Amino acid sequence: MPDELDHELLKRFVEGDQDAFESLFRQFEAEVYRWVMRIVRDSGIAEDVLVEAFWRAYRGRAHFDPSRSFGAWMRRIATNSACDHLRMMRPRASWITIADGIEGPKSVDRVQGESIALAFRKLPPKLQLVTTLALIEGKSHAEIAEALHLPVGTVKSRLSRGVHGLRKELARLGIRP
Amino acid sequence: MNEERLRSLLCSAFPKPESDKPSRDLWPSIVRRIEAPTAWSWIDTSVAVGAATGVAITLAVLPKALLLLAYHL
Repeated sequence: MPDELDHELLKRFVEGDQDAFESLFRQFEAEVYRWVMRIVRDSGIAEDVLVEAFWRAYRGRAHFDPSRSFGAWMRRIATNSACDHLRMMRPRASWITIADGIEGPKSVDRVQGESIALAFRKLPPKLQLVTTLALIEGKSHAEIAEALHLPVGTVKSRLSRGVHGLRKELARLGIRP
Repeated sequence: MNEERLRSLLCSAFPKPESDKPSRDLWPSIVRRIEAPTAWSWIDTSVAVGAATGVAITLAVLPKALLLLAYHL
């Protein structure tokens, strides 16, 4: 993230200057969007989460220390916003059956893909997050720990629980590759 | 099912996102959010108090529910 920021700009942001905030938004928008997309995997949802995250940042600006990294702070807020979104979506996912997602003829691969996506969305958001970054994005345990400000042991434990939960749910859906 | 197979299934279910930037300028939406009045009505307060009371009673009656709650949070 572009984190060589003018200290004065950050101070103005903390004081509530909207021009300073817009300048920060323009600099960090793309990076935060890419990060959120990795978590939610949908462009429309990523845009909503991005707006929510920057709104939360503005609302919580008094808690930001201008001597710290704005990028890291923003990424943490965006991660929390994305997880909140996954949490909101989860109860609905639990009511969906495979048949609900099938509209007309689809390939076997597509039906299986949708079933896997549904099974995955049933995991608790914090497990989805770590599992996405590890298995889909191919990040190492250390990289995930650094990005999420978690101990490596917590990352390993969440990944193990995520994989276990997903295997269980896929077996329930009859997916045994 | 080994982890490699699981990884490949997940990658096929969640393909790499194509867009790497928002489709529109999101700044006006953020400004609207900032300028929207914060509505905190007595209904919000009573729902929050009710939910907190419900959780407290559940935990008092069923302390093991804390483990379930911790798993889902």
